[in-house]
Amino acid sequence: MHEFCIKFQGTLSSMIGEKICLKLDKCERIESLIQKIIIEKKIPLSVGELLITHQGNAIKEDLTTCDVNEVEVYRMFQGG
Amino acid sequence: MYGIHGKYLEIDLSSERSREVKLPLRIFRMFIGGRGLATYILWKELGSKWEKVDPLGPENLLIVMTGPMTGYYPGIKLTISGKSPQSNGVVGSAISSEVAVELKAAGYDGIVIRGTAKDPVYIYIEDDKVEIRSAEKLWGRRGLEFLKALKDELRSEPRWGLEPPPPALYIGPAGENKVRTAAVMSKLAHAAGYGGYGAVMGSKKLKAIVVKGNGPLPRAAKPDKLEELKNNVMEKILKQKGFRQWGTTQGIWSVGYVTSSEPIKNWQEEWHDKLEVSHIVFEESYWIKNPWADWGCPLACMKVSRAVIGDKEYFTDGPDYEMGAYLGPNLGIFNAKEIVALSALADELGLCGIQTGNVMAFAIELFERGILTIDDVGYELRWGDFNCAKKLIEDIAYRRGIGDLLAEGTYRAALKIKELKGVDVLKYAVQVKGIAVGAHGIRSKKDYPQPIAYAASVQGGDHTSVAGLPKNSRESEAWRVFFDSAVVCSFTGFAADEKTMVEYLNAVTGWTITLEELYNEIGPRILSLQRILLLLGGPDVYWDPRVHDDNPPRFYEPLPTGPHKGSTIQREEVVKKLREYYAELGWDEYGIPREDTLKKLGLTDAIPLVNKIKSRLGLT
Amino acid sequence: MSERIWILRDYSACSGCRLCEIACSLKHEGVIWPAASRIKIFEIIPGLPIPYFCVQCPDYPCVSACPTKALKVDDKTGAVLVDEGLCILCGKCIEACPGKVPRIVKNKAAVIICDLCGGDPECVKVCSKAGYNALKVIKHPNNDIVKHYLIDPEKISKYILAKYRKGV
Repeated sequence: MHEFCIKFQGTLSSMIGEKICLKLDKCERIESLIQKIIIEKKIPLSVGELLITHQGNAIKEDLTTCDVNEVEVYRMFQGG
Repeated sequence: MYGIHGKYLEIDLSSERSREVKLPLRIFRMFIGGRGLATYILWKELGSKWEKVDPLGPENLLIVMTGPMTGYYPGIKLTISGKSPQSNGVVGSAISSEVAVELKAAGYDGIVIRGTAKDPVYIYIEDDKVEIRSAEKLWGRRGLEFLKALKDELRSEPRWGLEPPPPALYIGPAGENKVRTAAVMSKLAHAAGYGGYGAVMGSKKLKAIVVKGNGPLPRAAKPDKLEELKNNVMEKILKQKGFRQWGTTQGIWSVGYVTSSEPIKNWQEEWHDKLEVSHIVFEESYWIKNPWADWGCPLACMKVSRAVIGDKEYFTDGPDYEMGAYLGPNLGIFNAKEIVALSALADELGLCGIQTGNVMAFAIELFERGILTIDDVGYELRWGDFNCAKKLIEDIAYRRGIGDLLAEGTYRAALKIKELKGVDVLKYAVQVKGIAVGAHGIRSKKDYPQPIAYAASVQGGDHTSVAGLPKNSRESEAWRVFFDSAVVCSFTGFAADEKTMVEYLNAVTGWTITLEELYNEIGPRILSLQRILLLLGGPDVYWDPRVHDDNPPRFYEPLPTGPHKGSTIQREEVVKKLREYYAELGWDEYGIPREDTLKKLGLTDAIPLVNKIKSRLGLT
Repeated sequence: MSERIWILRDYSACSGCRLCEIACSLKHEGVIWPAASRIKIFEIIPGLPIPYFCVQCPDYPCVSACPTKALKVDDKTGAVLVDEGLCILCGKCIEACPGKVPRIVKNKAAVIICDLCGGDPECVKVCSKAGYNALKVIKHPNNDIVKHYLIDPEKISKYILAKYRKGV
């Protein structure tokens, strides 16, 4: 059992909440986990349009919830 | 110095003289380059008499500025600036152009142009050769016809071996006619729209700036580290396959249908389900080249589209989302071919699609409401009418009939119409501080701009420079200021996280800038200066933060249609967040930079300007 | 002779990104120097970029024209090699070349011509990495057909535009 928290920034936070924390049994790939959440919450974005960082550095695709316990999520494309 | 030359080229069109101006490294550390450096130069040169400077007069400066990351970070952008004929403040207007690389190869970080030419001219720069040449063969020309005439002009340059024609920044007829919604153009469909600097170039009778640089770019401080970071960033960019395939054109459908935040009929609605404007339609029927990239770019989000209506051929980009939305759904037009044609026309005329599409829709709404009549216009203005839009956009570019009024931009046109008709029409104007709002609405809360995005931005309705909280994050205008100062393209820049971006800058320049410095000093410094110049304003309009730090009235109306029907923003929330945002930046409750903040940021000399602002507002 | 390579250009795939120019100048000069890139992108009609560089003509007119024997043919790759010490910047190779491909660059002691990077061209690698694949290494056709790629880029772009207009 481990806790994993996701901090959503900007307008994402008004859609999902500023921070959600989950209690997980096994180690999950962070990108897939976030993809599941945005589909569940009917957020009009795909995970490819999000930037997921841990302490300011973008995470690698294979990073799991057992490697770090908190990430920040931003929308990537603004404008255009 | 690494990554930069430490100097810009100053050209005086009145005296026809040019010289190199060196700046100490300290200034680059404080303002970076691009938008930041342009703001510094404008403050130093014009700050003490700002209110009196007419943006369309000889005193204004036209600034073309690169930044330390220009040429080293994938993609290319440079910043155009000056006193804006739209906001009377400073906008750092980004445009993709090879001129950025050629300038650096020629030995300059930028160009500052002052004065006015007697007759139309163009500037030719090749390394240390600077020539002000007659533009008699170019003035009045538009689109591909202009590009051909320019190529013929430059054909006689002696070359050893075949070389491509040097790139140029130029204006179309709209800029020549000092239309406030005119853009500075590059290639075919690239534009620096925000700020209205096309009109500034036109007021200086400057048709084009052509640059060729035969030297190398300045060396980077840590070439190996830079190589590593560049590969890292390129890899991330190359993952954005959907973006390369469809660019931002996909927004014409998705920003309406999915996020319900697209301008439709002057923002009266923001949702639609019209598949006729899906990016697939554009791709299948109108794209002749995919992808099309800018210098150094592995993302390549642009396309070349071609449409034929009657006997006229139209060429443009995708069109990109902002153009497509503003000259399509915002005018009630949901026909892909007509959208391509109008976008191509805007490019040919040298008009900003956002500002012009906004004032056109404003006019159409007023006509539908009976405030503007057939006697005022000469023809009917209706939603969804391509022929009317085609005529209106040309009338604006050439200042014909009602076009002369609308050429002043939505805000000034609204003030004039109020004067003429005795009706207050500002409530239909969707703009902030003279700058029309970019095509990303805030009422559905599904899109990226926060409720204070436009109200608090120092660039008004500029959707590429939105304000947001937390201040120390990518959401804030401080991050956007960095992009526009470095100068980094939004679409490749978003692939790098904050730490990587700062490391990148330091690898090029050899500096030791930290993210904290960026968020707490550099960002706020540039924003504070821009804010001061914006509030000094003049000579024709001035802003009062108590009134104008707000969203357009329409943004408080609930959305009438779609899955987010009824959704809107609350003024109380906006006011509350504004206060919070100002406090974070070290500004007072009116968003005026505080003395202690200015001292901390090394802007003590700007304190007298703040006192002038307070005095005008009756706040001393 | 069978080892000689040639870079095939696919104009419809070229995006105009100039990553090839950046890679070429970094490889040969150690800095980003677009004017010194052996491969140049001609974008006369915006949106229709044409990569333009040496085609290794089977009769090597540039090599024959050089008065100081500064130019020679690389046995391994078939590329034209320039000896910086012998080149006197007379420009005769440029006159002899059907496409005026060799160039004299400010502050460089010798004319520049694509040398195929000794057999593993950098431009091809970066174009492939970026996923455009507009440049590909194939065996040299050993035929004057390669000179067709030296038609004035302006003419080539107009030809391509005409194809698009016909709906091809």
